[in-house]
Amino acid sequence: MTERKYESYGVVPKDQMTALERDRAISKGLEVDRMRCCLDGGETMAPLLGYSIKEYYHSSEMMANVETYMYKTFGTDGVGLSTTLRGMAEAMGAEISYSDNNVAQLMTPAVKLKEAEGAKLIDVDKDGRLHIILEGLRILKGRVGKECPISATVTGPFTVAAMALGTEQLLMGMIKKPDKVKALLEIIVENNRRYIDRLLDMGLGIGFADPVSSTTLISADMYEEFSYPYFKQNVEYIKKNGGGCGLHICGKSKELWPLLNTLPIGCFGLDNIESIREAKEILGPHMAIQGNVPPVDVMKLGKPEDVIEAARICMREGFDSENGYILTSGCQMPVGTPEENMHALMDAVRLFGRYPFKLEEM
Amino acid sequence: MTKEELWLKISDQVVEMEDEEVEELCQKSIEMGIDPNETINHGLIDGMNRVSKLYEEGEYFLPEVLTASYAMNAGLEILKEHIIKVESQDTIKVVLGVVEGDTHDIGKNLVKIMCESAGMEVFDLGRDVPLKSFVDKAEEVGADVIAMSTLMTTTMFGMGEVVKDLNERGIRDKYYIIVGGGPISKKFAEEIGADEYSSDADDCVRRIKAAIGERRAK
Repeated sequence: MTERKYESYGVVPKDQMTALERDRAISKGLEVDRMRCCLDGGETMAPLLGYSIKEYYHSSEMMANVETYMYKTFGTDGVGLSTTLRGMAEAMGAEISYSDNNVAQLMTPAVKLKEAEGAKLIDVDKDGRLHIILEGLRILKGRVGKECPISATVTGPFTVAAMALGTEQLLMGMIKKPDKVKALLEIIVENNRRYIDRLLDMGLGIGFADPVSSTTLISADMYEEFSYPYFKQNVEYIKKNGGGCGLHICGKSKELWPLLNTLPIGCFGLDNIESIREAKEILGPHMAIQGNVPPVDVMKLGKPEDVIEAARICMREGFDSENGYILTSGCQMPVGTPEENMHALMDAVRLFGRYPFKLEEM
Repeated sequence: MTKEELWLKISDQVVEMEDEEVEELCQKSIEMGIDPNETINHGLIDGMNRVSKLYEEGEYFLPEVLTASYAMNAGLEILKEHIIKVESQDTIKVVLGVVEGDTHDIGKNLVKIMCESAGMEVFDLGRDVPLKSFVDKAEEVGADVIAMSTLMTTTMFGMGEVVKDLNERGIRDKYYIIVGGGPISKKFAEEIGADEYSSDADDCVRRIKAAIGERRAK
C-alpha cells in the first residue's frame, strides 16, 4: 500500500498485522496495532470492479473478487458474503427481479399466507443462488482466508418471512392469521439451519441481518412473539455446534436490546440512528458493538475528512465497550460511495485508534 | 340505532382492525339512507385518525396501522359507489409516488391514507414511477405538493432528478416537495433541493398542512 496522508492529520501509520492476526490477538486479550474497522459492502461494491449488480448476484467468482479487492485495497478487518436479504426467500420460490444498477427486489412472493404451512423446504445445492454464494465463500477462503476473517451473512427468520410472503402480508398476517405466520417461521428456521450447516462445515463466522425486525416497523411485543423465538433457534443451533454469530438490525432496535442480551450473540451492529453510548451500556456487557458512521450522509455524500471526524465520534463513544468495539458504517455503504471515503474510514482507526486506546488521542 | 351510534361503531371497528365488521356497518349505513360522505368522515376517517393517534403515541405500530387501513378501505369500497363528488377550491392536492427503480411502497401507502384522512386529494402514481411522471402529473392536475419516497440508496438520487426537472421547466416554486423513506435524511433533502424531509406519515401530513397553509396565506 502506498503512503497515505492528510493535510489535517499527517501521514497515516501502516498496519503492522494482518486482519486475522489482529482478530485473534484481540480475542486472546493481547496487544494489537490498532482498533478494528470493517467496510460494510457486498453487492453495492460490485461497480467498483466494473461489474453490474445483476452479474455479481450470479457469479461466485465476482463475489470473491469484490471481497478480495476490499481486503487488498483498503485493509478491511473482515470480508464475507451474504445470502442477501432475498436469497433465502428466492430459494423457497419467491421471484426476484435483478437489474444492472440496483439491488434485487421481490417481485412475486414464495407463498400465500393461507398456504403458509406448505412453504418449501429448500435444497441448498439446487435452490436459488445459495450454492453460488457458498462457492463464492469457498473461493474467498482460498484467497484471503489466511489473512482476513471471513463471515457469511444469513437473513433472520422474520425478515425471510417478509421476503417470502411480502412485507405487508407478513405485518397484517401477524394480526389476522398469527398461526399461519408461525408455521411459516418454523419452516424458515429449518431452511436457515440447512444453510447454516454448510457455513459451520466451512468454519466461517456467521452474521444475521434482520431489518424487518426493527422497531421502526414492529413493536417489541411483536418482536418477542414472532421474531425472537425463531431467531433464537438459529442462534442457539450455531452456538451448540461450536460457531459464533453477530446481528445487524437496520433502523431502531433499542427496545429489543434486553432480549438480545439473553442470546449467545458475539457482536451487534448498530444502525446510525441508534446511540453507541446507549448500546455500550446495555449490550456492551454481553457482546461486542460495531457501528455506526452514517452510510448516506457521510460515507457517500461526505468528504474524507467528514468520514474521519464522524468516525472519531463513534470511536470515542465505543472504544471502551466491555466486550470490544469495531468501527463500521451504520448500514451497507451505498453504490457510488467514493473509494477515498472507504480509505478514510480505515485511516480513522490507523490515525486515532492506536493501541493502547486513549480517549484523549481519539 | 342512530346515525351517530353507527358512526361510532364504524370508527371503533376501524380501530379494532375488523374489516368484515366495517363492511357490514357501512352496508347498514347505506340501508339507513345516511349520506355516505358523512359516514366516511364521522366513521371511517374518524377511526383512522384515532389509529394514527395511537401510532403517534407508540401504542400501534405498522402492522396495526396497515390492518386498520385495510379495514377502512373495505368500508370505503362500499360507500364510494354512493358518493356524489364535491370539489372544493381549498383541497390540498398531492402527487405521490415511490421513485423509479424501487417497489417498496408500504410507507407511501400510509402517507396516502393519512393525507386522505386529513382531507387532501391524493394522486397516487404507485411504485417504480418514471421520474418524469411526477412533474407531468403535478402539472396536469394543478397539484400543490409532490411527495416522493424510496427505501433504497440506489434509487434515492432519482428524487434530485425530479427537482432538476422542475427547475428546467422553470416551475420549481409552484410546488412544495417533500421526501421520505429509510435512507432519506434532512441533509439529503437539502442536498437535492427538496423543501422538506419527513420521517413518517403523520409528520408528513402535519408538514404539508403547515407549509401549504403558510403559502396560501401569502
